[in-house]
Amino acid sequence: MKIIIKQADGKGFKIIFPTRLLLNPIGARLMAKSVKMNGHSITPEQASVLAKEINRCRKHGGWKMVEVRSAHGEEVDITI
Amino acid sequence: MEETLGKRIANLRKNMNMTQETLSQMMNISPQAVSKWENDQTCPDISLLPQLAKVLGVTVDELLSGKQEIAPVVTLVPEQERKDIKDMMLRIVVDSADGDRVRVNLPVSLVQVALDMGMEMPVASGNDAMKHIDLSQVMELIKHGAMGNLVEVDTEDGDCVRVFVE
Repeated sequence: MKIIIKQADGKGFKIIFPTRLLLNPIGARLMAKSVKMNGHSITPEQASVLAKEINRCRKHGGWKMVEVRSAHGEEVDITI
Repeated sequence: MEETLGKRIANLRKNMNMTQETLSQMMNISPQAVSKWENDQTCPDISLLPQLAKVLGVTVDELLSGKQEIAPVVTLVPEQERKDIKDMMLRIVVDSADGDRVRVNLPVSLVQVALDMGMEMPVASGNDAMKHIDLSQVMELIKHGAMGNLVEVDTEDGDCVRVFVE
């Protein structure tokens, strides 16, 4: 998984880590907690099923899941 | 050489088998004015552009830029020609009036798994324009062979949301 964040002034950073590090049972629990904190509901079991499906989809090749370009020039890309 | 506005007006008029006089009558102006437009001696007044575009069968943008707008296409694919759902991608495109752009690309199979579990879809419900889009209905359309630009929403705030599948 690759997360690229760029600020409007050009500064930014890149995080690259093995997707399996996030998409595992522990990662799924953390994901569920994080999603809940943002006001949506997802159980750890649901997160685990999603994680398995994302891993399955990855086998067909990675893809850019999220691309954000703000009007102020900030950029966020998340590639699986 | 790039086509001028005058030449574009002339070409569009000729494509419709219309004389300068007929165009002038439809626009309620003199034939000389039309001639001057077509020879790039003058430009149509901005207030006349919508009517001129309508008469010539184009949008104002097409009249001024010469670029043909490509209408989004939705197709119904016969069952025997449909792609496996595991190979399809659902793309959600949000262009806000403030100039923010968001693109979310999700494998259709992933969306199906999430909906089957009765999950809320944060990517969908987090945006006001998306609140009224029923992703389960979108999935039904996909299952029945719909491909292309399935949903397009223009909100009163100026946001534009599109959901398309490929």
